[in-house]
Amino acid sequence: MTYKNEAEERELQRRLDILEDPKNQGEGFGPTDWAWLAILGVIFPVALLIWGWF
Amino acid sequence: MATTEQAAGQFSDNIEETALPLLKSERTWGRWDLLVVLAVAAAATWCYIIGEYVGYYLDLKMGIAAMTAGAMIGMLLVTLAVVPIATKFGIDSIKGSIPQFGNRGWVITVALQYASIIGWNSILLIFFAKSVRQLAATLGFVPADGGAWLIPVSTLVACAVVFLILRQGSRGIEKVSKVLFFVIIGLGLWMIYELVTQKGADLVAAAPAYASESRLWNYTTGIEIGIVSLLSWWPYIGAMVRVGSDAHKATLPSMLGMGFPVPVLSIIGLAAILALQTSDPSGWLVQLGGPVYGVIALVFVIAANFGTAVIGVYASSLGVKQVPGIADLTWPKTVLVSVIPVAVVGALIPELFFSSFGSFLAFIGVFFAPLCAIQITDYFFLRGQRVSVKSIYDSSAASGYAYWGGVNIAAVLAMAAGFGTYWYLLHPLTYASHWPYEFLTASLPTAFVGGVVYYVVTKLLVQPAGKGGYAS
Repeated sequence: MTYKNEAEERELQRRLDILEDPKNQGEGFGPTDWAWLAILGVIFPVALLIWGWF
Repeated sequence: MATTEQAAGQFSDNIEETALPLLKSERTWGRWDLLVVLAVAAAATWCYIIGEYVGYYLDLKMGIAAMTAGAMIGMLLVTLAVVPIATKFGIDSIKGSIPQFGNRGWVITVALQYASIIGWNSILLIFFAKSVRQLAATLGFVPADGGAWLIPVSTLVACAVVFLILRQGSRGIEKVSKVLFFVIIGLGLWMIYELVTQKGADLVAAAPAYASESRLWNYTTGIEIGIVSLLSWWPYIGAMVRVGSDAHKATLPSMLGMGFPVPVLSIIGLAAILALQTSDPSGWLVQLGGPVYGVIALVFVIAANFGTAVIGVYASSLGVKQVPGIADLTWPKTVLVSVIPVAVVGALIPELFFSSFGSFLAFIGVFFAPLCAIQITDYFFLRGQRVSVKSIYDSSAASGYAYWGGVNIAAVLAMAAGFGTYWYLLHPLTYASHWPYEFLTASLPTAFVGGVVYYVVTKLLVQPAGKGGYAS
């Protein structure tokens, strides 16, 4: 293994140790996000399709 | 031997050019940054071709409705599949697929990403090259039906410029995106204004050229084109949103920045094909306003396509950098691995590839619809949003995601079931369809079948075998 890979491996382990802790992870979708996803990904398309058909 | 601090310092300057997970402190893109970068990635002249294809089947009003609705549905699938895991650990789309496909099976997703991005970039840069030829002919530099040599030459020049920009890594993307954003949005809105004010009456009266007798089939096909066009963002989006700190920051940029510009700009292609029988703005803008308009159109094509091509090659380079053998290449050489196939396609078979756009779109739907469904099913319904980042980066047989020889049979079977479903509902080459395509589209049932097969096989086979790192 080259030095670069050894260094990268150490850096990877350091990062994984940090990211294993949930407080260092990005949060998932919250209620507002789910609302936006429903509006933009479901309600808006359905409304558009009804408008387009008639 | 280097210390941990030295190693960290070595990677801190070019961390976004590696497949390492990004720490929260490194994920510095806010909503606005993400919105701009994602919008620039989405806003390219493929929108005109997408609009053109919808315009074969639908008039302006139905086309706008079907295309936009389909695009937002497609974007919802991609957002649910990629954004949560990419923003949780700062990883790209490929790493995010390891929990489902396995610590060797992810090569399936790399292959799909590579093929998809090379395909889209080839279409973009060939479109750019054709626009250069069109403009050169309009300005009298080459004969009206000549100058074919300009297409491969322009494609090669474009590939060289993309490579030069990306030698800087993602910093090149951010700089280019911020410049291009206003050019793309501003010129795009101006084009819509010109079309509506000068050809408004023609647009209202225009009939689609290849519409079938079934109004419902035409409408569904417009929706299907919208969905599969946005499923194309699966390979791109992970590399971008991972630089955001959480899913909350990425939700609206994803849906509005990446989802909405495509149908909006596709309206230009839709309106142009209906009213002027060509979707290439360097052709129809000359009809409307002479050579000056043609030059403006070319500026737009350059701005839009370069932004997307740069981001596409970056995402593809990140993906292939995880493949053994390529992992040890320097960043510029990795970028070349992504750029050279585009140059070859653009130089050798530009017309053949460009004319196969419909089949290429169907290829996207065939593979990416079940892929999204597999990820959504696994992350939300089987794992309860809990994934081990250590297992993602563990390529050994002891990894929680080692499955059988590194491959998850459930994912392979689900992809195969999705493939068969799409093929039955809408033949990717002939566009021949079978019931219930006209009621459901092809992509949505394909995603549903893929998700259900994955869920059932996981419950019946994977979990009882103690594979996959599922919580017991």
